[in-house]
Amino acid sequence: MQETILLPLIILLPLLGFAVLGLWGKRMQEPTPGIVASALVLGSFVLGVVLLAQGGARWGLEDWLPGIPLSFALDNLSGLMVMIVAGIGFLIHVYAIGYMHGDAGFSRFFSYFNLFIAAMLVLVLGDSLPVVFVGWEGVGLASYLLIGFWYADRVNGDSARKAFIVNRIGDLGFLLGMGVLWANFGTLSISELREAIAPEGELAVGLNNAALALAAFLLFVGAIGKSAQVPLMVWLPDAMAGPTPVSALIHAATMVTAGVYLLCRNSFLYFDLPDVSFWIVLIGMITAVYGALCAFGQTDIKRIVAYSTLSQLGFMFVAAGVGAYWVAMFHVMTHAFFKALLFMSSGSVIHALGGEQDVRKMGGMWNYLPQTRIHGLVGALALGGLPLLSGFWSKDAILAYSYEYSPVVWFVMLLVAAMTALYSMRWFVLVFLGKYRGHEHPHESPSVMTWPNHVLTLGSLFAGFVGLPYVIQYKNFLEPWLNKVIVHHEHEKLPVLEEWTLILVSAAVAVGALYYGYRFFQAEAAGRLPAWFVRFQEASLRSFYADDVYNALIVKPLKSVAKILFDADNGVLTGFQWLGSVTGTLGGLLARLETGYLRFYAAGLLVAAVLLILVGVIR
Amino acid sequence: MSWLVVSALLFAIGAYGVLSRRTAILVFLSIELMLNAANLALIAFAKQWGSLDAQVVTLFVIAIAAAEVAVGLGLIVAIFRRRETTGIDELRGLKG
Amino acid sequence: MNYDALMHVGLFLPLLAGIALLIWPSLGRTFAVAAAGVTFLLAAWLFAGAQGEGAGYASQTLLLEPIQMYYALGLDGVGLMLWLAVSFTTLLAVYIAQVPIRMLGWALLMETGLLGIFAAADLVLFYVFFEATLIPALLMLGLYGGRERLKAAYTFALFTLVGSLPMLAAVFAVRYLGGAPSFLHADLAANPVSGAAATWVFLGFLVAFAVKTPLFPLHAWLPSFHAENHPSGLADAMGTLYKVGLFAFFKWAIPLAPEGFAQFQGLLLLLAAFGAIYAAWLAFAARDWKRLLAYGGVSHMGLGALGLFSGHADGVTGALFLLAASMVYTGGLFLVVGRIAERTETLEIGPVRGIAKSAPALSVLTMFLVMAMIGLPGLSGFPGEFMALLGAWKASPWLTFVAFTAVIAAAAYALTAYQALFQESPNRTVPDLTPREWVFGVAVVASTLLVGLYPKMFTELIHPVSEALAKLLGGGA
Repeated sequence: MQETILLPLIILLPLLGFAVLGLWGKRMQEPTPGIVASALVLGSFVLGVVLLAQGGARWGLEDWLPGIPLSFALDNLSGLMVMIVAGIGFLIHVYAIGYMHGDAGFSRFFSYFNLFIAAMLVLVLGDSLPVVFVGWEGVGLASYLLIGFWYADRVNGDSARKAFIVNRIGDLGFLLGMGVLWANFGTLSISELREAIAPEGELAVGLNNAALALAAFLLFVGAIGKSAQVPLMVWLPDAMAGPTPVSALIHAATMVTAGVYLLCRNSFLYFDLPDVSFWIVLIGMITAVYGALCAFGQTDIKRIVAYSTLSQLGFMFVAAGVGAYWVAMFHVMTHAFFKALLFMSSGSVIHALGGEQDVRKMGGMWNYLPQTRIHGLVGALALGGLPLLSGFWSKDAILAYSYEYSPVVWFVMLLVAAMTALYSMRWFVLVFLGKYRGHEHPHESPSVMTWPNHVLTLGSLFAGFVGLPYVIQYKNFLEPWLNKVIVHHEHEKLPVLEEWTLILVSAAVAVGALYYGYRFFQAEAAGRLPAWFVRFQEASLRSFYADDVYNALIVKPLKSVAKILFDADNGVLTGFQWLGSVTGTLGGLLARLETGYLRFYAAGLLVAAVLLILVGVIR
Repeated sequence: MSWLVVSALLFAIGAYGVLSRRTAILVFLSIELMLNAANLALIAFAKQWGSLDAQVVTLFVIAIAAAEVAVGLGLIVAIFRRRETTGIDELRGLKG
Repeated sequence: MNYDALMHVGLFLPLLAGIALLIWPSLGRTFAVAAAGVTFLLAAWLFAGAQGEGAGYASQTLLLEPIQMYYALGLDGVGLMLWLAVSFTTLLAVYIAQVPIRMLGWALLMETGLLGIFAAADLVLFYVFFEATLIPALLMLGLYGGRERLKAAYTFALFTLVGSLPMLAAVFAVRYLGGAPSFLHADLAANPVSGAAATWVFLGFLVAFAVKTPLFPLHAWLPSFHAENHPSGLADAMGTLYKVGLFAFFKWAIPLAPEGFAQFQGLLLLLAAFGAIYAAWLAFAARDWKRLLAYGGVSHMGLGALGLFSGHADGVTGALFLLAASMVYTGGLFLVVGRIAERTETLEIGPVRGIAKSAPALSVLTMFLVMAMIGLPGLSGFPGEFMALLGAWKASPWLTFVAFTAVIAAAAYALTAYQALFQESPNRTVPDLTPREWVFGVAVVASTLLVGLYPKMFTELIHPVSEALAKLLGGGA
């Protein structure tokens, strides 16, 4: 670990892009802002890799706030994230040069995109929770700006606002969690907290476990918001209102995995708290099931993928909950490849069809898009967990670890994996197979859009080989590399036979479900689905009424109470004014004594004098 | 002692006059009556205790009363010139 | 260089300039801007000269021998930070607001009062500045306000004056019951009142300062004050600077009657927390920008108050930081809203939509300030809010939770209003920023960024002062 000013430079490069493009981007010719932005992100990537190869780096400024340093650290864990964020971010930047071609806000788009990368890198590299929080809110802002990128449309503005507000609920948890840690440990630096809580990888003795659990739980609430877990999942599908590269970068590959990253970064908090971990597993499972069920009914090409993201994030949370932090990060990585690929193939399809997003008006793209069809196929198969593809290895690792945690969790997650294979085939079949059901003239995207997808396709195919299960007699690179920096419990390896059984079961389920989905959803394309399934799809399309329930139970009441209070507050002022008028009235009553009759005053004088004398005499 | 009784009677008559008369002149007269009742009481006390202090005070009161009569009568005349009346019940512009 | 002399000049320069401007309005805006600019430079100079631990300035001259009242000024880290905030915001305000020239004179007069409040080291002198500042504020409202200005002015005056009388009583009580030899802050703080007297003294201060914080339920004057003031936002910005309650609690009420504070601490925390969420909630229902900002301000001051009343050094630092930062960004927002109102001829939220299309730079400027207001990390609103939270959590986790739901509400009301005005399909085109507004915008954005990214600049000066207060109250760091 070296102390170097080059570390913040990783962040400053894209930040510079944000400022320059924001101020002068409008004066540049069209591809220039995109090239500048992409080059800066590539610079961050290279710098990050170089520093990581030198064994990591740190940089800090003491007492940024009283007692709180502004510090960054590049270790294996944050290094992996830097590579994902800047690497895949770079590919998506390049893709966006083609996708955003001709948009009036071309330079604005890349300015926001660079802002996002900068904020995400702050989040990833921050070695003090408030610094992480700076990035945390920064990506929220960038996400807000990009979802509402086409702000002239009211729906987009609403979606952006919804995303920001729902995220803020989680952010409050994050803030309060920091409050607990600060009150109990007097520091918010992650490395110092780690020293205080889990020196030598074991829980320190004499800690206030209740406070620790509270802090862990509150930070987890923050993660729920950012990673769109149930019950704060409602913003993610709506976030698809943004341009497709945004969905690929922010709402699939990087930002939404920040919650998982937070859990892994702070694993020293969670690894010995079974209660909180149980909640993480539970929430992850519910989200995985919910997301998968919702994906079946969607008709928007991007919303199908969005719900699959939700479901996959659930997988990652389950992994973190069962204590397999490196597996969670493994899935973050493979997911970043194949989900970015899926989104960008969707983007290519949308691009090919002149903006059409409804899968009912697609189909038959296999014949029109000779390159995108490969991207789509690989993406869908990797998501569905076809053996040997990247998604299979990471998902299999999650299943194996959940089996150790509890066979119930394993079984539920296996079902979800089957559903994943089914809906990923639904997506593929509806978009690429059958006959074209629309009236556009589909055309393949320019090479600036296909080349990034080629790279991602390679990643989706092979990225899984860095983390093979131990039973395959080949080196697992990722596990020891990440576990160097993640606090965790050493776990017993499963017996070889059991491990092989699990692998084969999950492989069989994946293959079976993929094939079944391939057959089944050709019926949907032809409009010949069983009636029960159509009814199910109707509910699924509306996300099982989550939005309606939230609106009726939370949003509407809050709004009407606001109106009532607003009027009532005028009442507070009226109350004070009433107090004033009471004083006035009392004064008026007293004033009536002033009759103007001299003899009345004189009598009063006399009576008073007599009374006073009497009092004096009697005493 | 009897002087004090006379003084008290004089004061009571004056007070009755202030309360019952309706013309400013008579009210004024009654006030003077009360003032002189007080003077009488002072003299009586002075004689009783054999002290000259009270007599001196009485002289002061008489002197001031003279000045006050001049001012008071002047005011009453001025009011009469303006309002054509000295009835105190009509003079009630100052009230709440 | 004699810094003390700079302090006196900085304090009275705006007063003289303001009087000159009222007599000869033909001096014009340039003169006002120059005066405010010089004042700001003096404040910055003083600030730059005070780097280092516990540095500051002090000066005293005996004014009234029989009662031992001094003309005493003192600027520690807190005072310097607030001087910077006040002089910077005033400069912005007189630079950008489109108002009758004489109104600028009143604003300058008000600046002297405000600087005096933050610099006074003698309680009677503080009282004089505290009350004198009311005059220009009332006159600006009464002379240049909207249709219901007189009613608003009465309300404002009554709230303030009703608060002032108990305070005056407390001013004398704190000295004579405490047995201090003079009205100097140092003497009074060395002889704090105790027992029942402390309760009453604190209560006297409490009423006056709660009005100016503003603390629920004594915030009721604020919405109409802002709604009725001149649409340019000049008076609103100055009024925002006049929300000195937190500072007054910090400098006077708490150190002079710590026992009294201890008695009311629970109640104050409760009021602060409730006010924070209550006002944020109301802001959501506000139909015009000024009321929205007024309620938003009440909400944020509630968060600050929660930090201050926690009695922990972090919370106190947070409260003071938030106070100074909010002066600039709230003042800036009022001024920006004034510029928008001049373009669209309305302050209402709703009738005008989509102006980001025709005025992109204006929309970015507003977005910046709105984000600063809702406490986005990296901008000036965050450090104060965050430190307040850290302190408040130590005092009362539950109230902290309740109060800080306001940060969710803040995102809701601020972004909803922003969206309504700037986004959606445009029904109006308005001109984008003029060169003058560009200067203003760059200055205010740069300040929020600088303060937000490098809060150390201020916290290292104010934290020692906060620690001293926390120690007095028996709390730890």
